[in-house]
This record gives sequence, C-alpha cells and structure tokens, in this order.
Amino acid sequence: MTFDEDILQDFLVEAKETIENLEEGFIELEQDKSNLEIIRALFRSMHSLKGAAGFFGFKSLESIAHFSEDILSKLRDGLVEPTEDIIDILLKAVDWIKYIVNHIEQNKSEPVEDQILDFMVELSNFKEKLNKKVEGGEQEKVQEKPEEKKEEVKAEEKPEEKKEEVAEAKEEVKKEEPKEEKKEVSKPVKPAAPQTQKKDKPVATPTIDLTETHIKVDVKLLDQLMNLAGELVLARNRVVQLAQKIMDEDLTRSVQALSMITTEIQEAIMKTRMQPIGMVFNKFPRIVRDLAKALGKKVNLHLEGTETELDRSIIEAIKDPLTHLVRNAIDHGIEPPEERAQIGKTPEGNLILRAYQEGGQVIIEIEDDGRGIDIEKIKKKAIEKGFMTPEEVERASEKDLLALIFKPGFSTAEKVTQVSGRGVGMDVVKTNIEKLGGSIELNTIYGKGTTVRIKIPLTLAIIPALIVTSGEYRYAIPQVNLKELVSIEPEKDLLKVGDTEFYRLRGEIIPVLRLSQILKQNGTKQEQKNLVILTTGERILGLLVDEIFNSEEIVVKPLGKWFKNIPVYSGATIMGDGKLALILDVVGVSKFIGLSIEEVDKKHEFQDVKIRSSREETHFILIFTVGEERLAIPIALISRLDKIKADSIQMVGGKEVIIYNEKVIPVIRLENYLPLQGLPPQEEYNILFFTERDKTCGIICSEIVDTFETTLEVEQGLYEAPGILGHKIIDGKTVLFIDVYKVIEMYDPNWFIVKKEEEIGPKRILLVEDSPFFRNMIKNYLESCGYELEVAENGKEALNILASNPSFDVIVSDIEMPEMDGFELLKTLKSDPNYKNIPVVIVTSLAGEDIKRKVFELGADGYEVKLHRDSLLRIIDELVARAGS
Amino acid sequence: MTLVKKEDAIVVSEKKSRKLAAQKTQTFVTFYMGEFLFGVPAEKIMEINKDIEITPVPLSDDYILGIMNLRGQIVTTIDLAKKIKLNAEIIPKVNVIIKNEDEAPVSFVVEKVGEILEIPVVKLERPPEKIEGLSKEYIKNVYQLPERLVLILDIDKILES
Repeated sequence: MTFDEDILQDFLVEAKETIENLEEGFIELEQDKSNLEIIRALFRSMHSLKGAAGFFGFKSLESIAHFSEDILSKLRDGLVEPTEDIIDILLKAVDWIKYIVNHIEQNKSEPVEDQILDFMVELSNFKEKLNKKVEGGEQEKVQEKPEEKKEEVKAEEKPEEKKEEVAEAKEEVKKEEPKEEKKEVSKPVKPAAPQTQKKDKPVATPTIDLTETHIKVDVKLLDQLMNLAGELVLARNRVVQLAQKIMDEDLTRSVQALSMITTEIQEAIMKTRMQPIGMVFNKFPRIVRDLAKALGKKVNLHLEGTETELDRSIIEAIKDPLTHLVRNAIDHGIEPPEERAQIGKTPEGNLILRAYQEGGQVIIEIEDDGRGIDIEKIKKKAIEKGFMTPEEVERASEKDLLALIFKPGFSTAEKVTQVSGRGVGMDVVKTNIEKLGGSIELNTIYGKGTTVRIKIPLTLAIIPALIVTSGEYRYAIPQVNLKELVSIEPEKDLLKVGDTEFYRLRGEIIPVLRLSQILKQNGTKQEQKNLVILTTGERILGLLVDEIFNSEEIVVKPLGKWFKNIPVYSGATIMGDGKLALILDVVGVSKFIGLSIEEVDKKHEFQDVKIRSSREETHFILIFTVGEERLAIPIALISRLDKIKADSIQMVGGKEVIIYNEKVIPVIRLENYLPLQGLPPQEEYNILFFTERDKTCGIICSEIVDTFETTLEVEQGLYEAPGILGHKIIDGKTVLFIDVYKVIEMYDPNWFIVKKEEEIGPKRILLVEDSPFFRNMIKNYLESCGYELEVAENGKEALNILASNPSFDVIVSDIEMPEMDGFELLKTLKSDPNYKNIPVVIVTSLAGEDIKRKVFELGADGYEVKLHRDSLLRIIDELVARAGS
Repeated sequence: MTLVKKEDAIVVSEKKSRKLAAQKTQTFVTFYMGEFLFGVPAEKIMEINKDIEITPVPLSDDYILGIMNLRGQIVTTIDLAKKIKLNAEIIPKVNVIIKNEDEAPVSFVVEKVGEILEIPVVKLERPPEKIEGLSKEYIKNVYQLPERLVLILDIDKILES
C-alpha cells in the first residue's frame, strides 16, 4: 500500500498527539475515577485513532485501538468501574500503540512481531472477560439499574452525543464511521486542517477543550529567524542613520515605522524560543506512575509553576537531569507504603516538582517527603570508598558530606537498583546542570524528606544586561549579577586602605574595583562616580565605571579561543548600532579583589589565579600600628578613617577629644587599656572612627599598614588580657586582634548602655560559635548588655548543654562549624518538641540572600551578620520581649 | 575589493600548462607587509574587506587587535605582522578574513592586498634556513617570482592559538 507522503506525515503527527492525550487522560482518570468527561475524551481519542489506522490499513494498530475502545465504551456507559487493572491494560495498549506508531514513522509500515499478537490476544481476552462480567452482572443484579444509569448519562449529554453512542452500539453503523474519519485524514492537512478538527471536537463535548492553538515549527527555522531578526536590526539602524542625514519628513516617518516594527519583530521572535517548563513536567506523571508501581510505592505527584518559561535549548537540556532526580526521589527517597504508615506518614508519598522565576534565573525544585538522606550512611560510604579519611569525616560539615553525592563514583543506594543505578550518577546531573550555567543544591532532613534545588539561567542566548562604559567602549554586565547602582564621590565615600578601596553600603563594607584599572585602561581621565554593586552569588563587590547606560536584552555570542584565558569576559554582544560590547564575567572580575596594582599586573599573567574559597569565612581586616606593635580589627567595624594633626587633640574635662566634622569626638589611646608599649609622639596620627547609634569615638594609632583578607582564626593564650581576642602571624609578624567593644567599654562603661526597662531576672543566651574570635567578641557584647551567656563550640556541644538544661531564652548560632553545623543544629532544634519554642538567631559572616532564605526555611527566628552588633542586639531584644509577652 | 588582477603569474603558469596540461596548480591570494610578499591559499579565504570597526579587547595578547562584527558574527582580528614577529613598522589596514574550521572566522589584518597567483604545486619550495626579519616557524613554503620571493603562510600554525 502506498500513501501520499504528506498524508502519512499528518497521520503520524496526529497519532502522536492522540497518544499524549491518552496518556494524560488515563493518569487523570486514575486520580478521578468517576469523571465521565475524561472517559469520553479518551473514548473519542481512541475512536479516531482506530478510524485513521483502518484507513491506512494498519491492522494491528486498528485492532488494539478497537479493543481499547470497546473497553472504554463500557467504562463510559458505567457498566464497569475503572479499576486499576483496567487502566493498567489500557495504558499498556497505549504503549503498544506508541511502539507501532514509532515503527511506522521509521519504516512506513507496521511491525510484524509475535509480541504484538500476544498482546492483542491478552487484550481481547481481557475484553471478553469484562464482557462476561458485565453480562453476568446484568443477569444477576437488578436489570433496571444499568439502564437507569444510561439514561442519566444521556440526560447530561448534548443531543449530538447520541449519534456517536448509536454508532457505537450497532456494528453496521460503526463500519461507516471510518469513512467519515477518512475524509478528515485524507484532506490535505495544510493550514485548513486544524480548523476542521476544531470544528469536530466541540461537537462531542464542549467542556473539555482539546482544540489545538499551536502549530509545530522546525527549530532550525526559529534559529534562522532569530539570526535574520538580528540582521534586520542592524540594517534598520543604518537606514535610520541615512534618514537623519537626508532629513526628509516622509522618509523620517516611514523609517520610524520601520524601526518600531523591527523592534517588535525581534521581540516576538525571541519569545518563540521561550517555552513553558510544563513541556518537561508533563512527562513526569507517567514516569512517576510507572516507577512507583514498579517499586511498589504510592506517590502523589504535584506540579507547580508549569507555566514558567525557559529557553527552548534549556528545556531540552534539563529533561534528563530532572528525570534522574525524580527517579532518585522515588527510588531512594519515598518509603514503601507500609514503612510510611509505621512512622505515621500518609501511605502515599508526595513528590513536588516546582518551577519559578527569580531574578534572571529559573529555580526548579524537586521535593519529596521521603526518608531523607542518612548522613551516617554517607560518612560510612565516604570512608569505604576512600573519599575521606575517618578523621576528615568527623570534621566535615553536613554540607561537605552532602556534596560528596555529586562526586563521580559515589552512590548511597545500598544495592544498585534497576531504577537509579545505571552508571549515570548525580555527578553527571551536576555536570549537565553546570554546563547550562546553572547550579544544584541539596537540602535534606533525615526522616523528613529531601529537596533538590536547581538554578538555571532563563536563556542561554539572550540575557538582560546593564550597559556601562570604561574609556570609550561599552561593556555589558549580566543583570543576574547586579544588585544596585550608587552614585558616589570617590574621594569622600571610598575608604582606601593599603591597596584596596572599600565602600560602606548600609553598614556593610564591600571592596571596590575600578573597571579601568582591571582592564588596564590608563587613559581614563574622567572621574568615575558610578558604582555598580555586583554579586557573584557568594560575595558582593563594587565596580566603578565611567558611565551607566540602560539595561538591554543582549544576545550572547562566544569569544574566540584567543580570549579563553582572560577571566573577566564571558562573551561579546552586538549592540543596536552594530558595534560590539564585551560581556563582563563578574566572578572573573571578583578575582581582582584585594590585589595591589603590582599584583593586578601579575594576575594578568593568569598563572596562579587562586580562587578564594567561599566556604571559609574570610574577612577584610585592617592592620595598624601603635608604636611598634601591630594590631588588627575587622574593617567592617570601622566607620571612617582619617588623619589628624597632633596639635588638634585637645584636653577637655580630663578627656582627650578632637573636633571632627563640627562634632566633639572623644579619642582613645589603646595603651591605656591594653598591655602595649604606647604611642610615641608624632606630628600626625591616624584615627579609626567607631560609630554606634549616634555616638562616635576614635582610636589613635601611628600608622595604617594594610588590609588583609583572612579568616578570623586566631590563636589564644599567649596574650591574655581583656580587650585582646587573640593573635595571628601575618607576613611574619605577630598581630594582635583587639576587641574594640571591650576597649570602648573599658574607656567608658556606660558607652553602650541603653536604658532598659525593668527586667525580671537576667535572660539566658546560648551562643554556639566555633571561632574564638567571634565567640569572645559576641559573648562580651552580649554580656555587657546584661545577658547571661553560655557558650558551645559546635552544634553537638550545644545539644548536650540543652539536654542538661534547656532553660534558654534565645539561642544564637553560627553556621559553619565542625561536627554539627548551624543548619543541622537549627533543623534538630526545630524538629524537637522540647526545643522548638526557643527562638534561634543564626549569625553569619556570609551575607547572602540564598543563605538567608535557607535559614528562614529551616525555621530560624532571626538572621544577622555577626559584625552588625547593633542589629543583632536589637533582634535578640525583640525576641526576648516577644517571648516575655 | 581589488582581487581581479591576474597578471604575470598566470602568464607563467599558462606557458607551463601548454607543456603539462595535467600539472596541478594552487591559487594563492597575496598581500604585502613592509618589504615582504605573503601568500595564503585562496580556498582558505572567506572575503577581504576594509573599514570594519575593530573593538579592542583589553588584556588580550598584543597581536590581537580586537573583535569585529562581520554581519552578526564575532570575528577575532589578528595583527598578522605582530603574530609572525615581522620586524617592520606596519599599519594594518585590510582585513583578510580566513575560514576557521568549526569556529568563527578570524581576520588577518595586513597592509595591502596584492595579486592572485596560480602556482604549480611542484614549484612550492621549502623555506630557506633563515628568513631575515621575521619568525620562520609560520612560513610553510616559498615560491620564487622573477623579482621576489612569495612567503606562503602556514595558516593552521598561526591559528593554533
């Protein structure tokens, strides 16, 4: 048999759609077994498939569709209930139909295989059995009942529906049906065809909308359109320029019209690349169902945010990683029904696939309420497989251990199951996500469930970006990295310490880089006043640029291999005027932080570009001298730095003060409170200013040495004195880290005291912090505010303390700690009925939205950056007050 | 584009072709830089043009002039004289755009475009031991014209990052 190639193509397209409708329909039916609308829609789909198959002479396809249709008709007429075994066999039928259609597509003929025959026999037998059951039921049970039901059904239906029913009931009439179908299929299904279908469908039932509003287009064509639109824009721009020269009114008007239309075309074409993530999500009901069945589990799948749009190429690329994660969740995450029932969960597990947009990114979450990941098991495996030594395992944080899951060759499944263990591991998932410019993160609560969060860019090709200039050229900064724009007076607003400049943004000290300096454009004379605040996701920095233009949607084009070793660019783009702009890679740019000009020069050789690990809590510290001695404090505590002449220090009322910005500022000599040699007389002194609430004081020092980015791991014991937190060797010299708050308190015990209302007994705080530096500093300032403190060095210790005495009013905890980190502690506290009512404030030095979100997700009552003494105190006060009321 | 001058070289090859009709020849586009005449196989060249604005890429190697927009494609422009360490003051003016397998094309910016030569393959010679004023490693062959030597560039070598 030979067909017109086009007609066969149309049949295949339609058949595929029908299959998809069938699959979705059956899954829906399983959830809502009494829904007659679904059964009718299924019946119709099967019916037209049968007709079309008959027209082309695809016998097996026709038979399978015929038997299925028969069974469906019984469901529709209420003769049998849609039980699991019926839905099961019908889904199997859909699978065979799919198989056959696929074969037809490739070979233009039906497959001849015994298995198909076997299945047809099975299906036919099943149908016969069903027939007997129905007949038996009719004989035994009240004869009127089925008829009654039928009438009810009919009453609901529109008159047109009857026609189909009659046709179904009588064999003779049914034979005519395919002829009708023939017409539909054999019509040259060019533009008009979808419309005829549209007309046909509503006749059956208007309530379910199965009309097609979309047509299928070759993706290559879309890509081509996209390129052409780009060219069109450039050509338009040239015409615009010419028109400006000629200055003809009519010409100008038509050029304006051309210009607007071009812009709209470009936007519309860009939109064609965007597709809802539902395209991928909708495949999962079936996958989840089959998988759950195969594993003897019950799973309810919830899809959220299916309308979230993503670039076509990304949709394609995330399909496999998502499938893998969903399989994992069902296989390893969700427990079998009996096990769930035992631990008081619902027998059905819940699996949520959620997508939403945030900034320029799309977040996809795969959340299950299964058993979670057993950290102990990971620890065991890590040692067994040689990923870590037993000592390392003990020291590792939960985050580090969970990260192992993404390492090649690491799998926690006790036995490799058919489902999850296929040699493709989480490492592949991670690699694939990262290839898309995305990231993956795993959160788990043992016994409660696991959430995998994937972040991916909206589109690979088009991104919103801020256009800035340096020198005479433009640069694009991806909007994802942009936090805010600030106009500053560099001379006044920037704090220059050593080689690094800083800007104080609402109390937070951030390093500032100059774009012209990074790009070694020495020619820039213009004073840079525009500060772009950027984030790499892990750290915040400021970038000084010449000018800031608009935000634009830019098309990312890769740079050639000659530029691969320059970390500051991620590509280039063609601007509206046809000129090029380089796209800055903010992570690459951030590598220049804290480097002196010479180091920047060295860095340009790109030999040993060291990437600072964000894991370690590093801080910028200021190193200064008093006489010969080197001292340090975190730069974030300082509000200003300045120099003063020695003779401007006045003695007033027994106190040394200076007049600064028309204010009287007391100055403190450290040697009066700390065991130091003392400050030799100098013509000029450096003053470090500290401001809290509206009070400012200054500390006198000889010289500012430098800033240094380091962890605040200090050694203790050697210099034991109030006001000294510890020491550390930097550049071969011993540097004392001082506790500014303590020193100021020693200078004036009432400096920080804010009159408090009468309290009933002192409030108790449990402080959990591993770094001695912060432990002492926070302890000191909390105690000076009248709190009673108990300290623990990690989560485990905290739990031990709580176990012996849980009467704390607030718990203040760090995040990064050995043994048990802050996240884990928080989780444990909030899931324990004994502790869950104690407010927990998480303190961190890693200020970031991500962390903040996670902290609150886990149930924290407060979150603050450690060095923000003032705000932390306020939060604690509030929590205590709330608990008291 | 000034590529349509096929003069003496072709005459040379025509004379030969009477004798050896089957002899293989290869077409070369030539260009000048300082005192030197260079040749590049014509099939490697996509097009030749002038006056395309070059956007510099700070921090790149000194022989990279920058990037340019060739009808929507980003093309890396290379200062050929600098790349092959030519010891002469050259003002790069003309873009000789080279096809680059699987990647975006690359432009060699040269001083002045010369003629197109049809050269019998057998007449291509190995380069001499030493060429005064430039780095020999990028010269694949030489061809002796009556008055001067054509230096045939080794494109693959030059494009090898």
